[in-house]
Amino acid sequence: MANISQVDFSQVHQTSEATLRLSVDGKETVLKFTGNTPSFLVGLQQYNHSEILAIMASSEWTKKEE
Amino acid sequence: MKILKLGQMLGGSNAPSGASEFENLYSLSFDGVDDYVTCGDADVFTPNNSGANRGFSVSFWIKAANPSGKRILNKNQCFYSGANHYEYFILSDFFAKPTFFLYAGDSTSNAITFRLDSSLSADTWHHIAFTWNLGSTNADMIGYINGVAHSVAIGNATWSLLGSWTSVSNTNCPLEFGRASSQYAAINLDEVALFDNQLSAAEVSAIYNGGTPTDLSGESYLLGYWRNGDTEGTSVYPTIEDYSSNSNDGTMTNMDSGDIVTDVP
Repeated sequence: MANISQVDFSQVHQTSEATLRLSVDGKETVLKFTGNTPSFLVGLQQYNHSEILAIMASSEWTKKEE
Repeated sequence: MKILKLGQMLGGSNAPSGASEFENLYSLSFDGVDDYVTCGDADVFTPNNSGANRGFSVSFWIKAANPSGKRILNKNQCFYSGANHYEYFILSDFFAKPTFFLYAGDSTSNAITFRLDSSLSADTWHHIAFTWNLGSTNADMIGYINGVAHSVAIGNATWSLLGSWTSVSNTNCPLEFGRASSQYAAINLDEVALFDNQLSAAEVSAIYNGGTPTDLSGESYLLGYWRNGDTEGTSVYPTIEDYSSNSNDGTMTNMDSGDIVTDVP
């Protein structure tokens, strides 16, 4: 989350910093965009829908049921 | 930081043709990554907040490519005042069976779990209804899939009670669609409604209407009614209007107007 201040929420689908989905350890988030890659995201790893769903289903992103 | 590039995940088109006074042209497509709708917290979302002891019912239409393990509707497990708080949530379990969880006294030690013993089919719209008379025996809740009743008495549902039952506490947890806790659902969801009574079999049958959603805005004891894109389509983004008299509109969160799709039951 060190670079969250660089996110321009007008260029991604996420509503705001407060609504971001965080990894279980709180150190990572996920962003979505349509069209050209926003400049602040250039050079970062990108995934398609099925790839990111697999990542989101991992224990790093989804807590076990209580 | 992980990034998803959109473009291939929005729903298809299956809009009905023909004009009538009531039309259902849109549903919401949740991506399973971080999409959800929040309706905020309102007292009326808590079962029997009216004190009328008529019961509580939930009705919605759902479709999923993989209907296993989907968090559908949630007013539960929100954190404030130093603790998690609990009311109820609805999911499809590992076997894609619709399941309703309720908690008494804001405690996970006192819980009802009611599971319909039928699995949802992939890529198929289903109408689901849970109807509850507020009681704590296995005869007090009936579920419906496409108008077909499921209950312990019939033998096509299971019920369990953990601890002892009093009533669902009115917490500050928001009512949300498409997620519960850290779990997000890749689903289409449409025509979500809450009622301050236990719907009868005839009422559920009328809502199912042979597989075609019908107008619920005039129904008795309607607590909330979210049409998920209707009646104006993408122009309503990000507001999901509550067509009940309570007007607790929902807000599409981490979504965009393209998540209002024309894939409908």
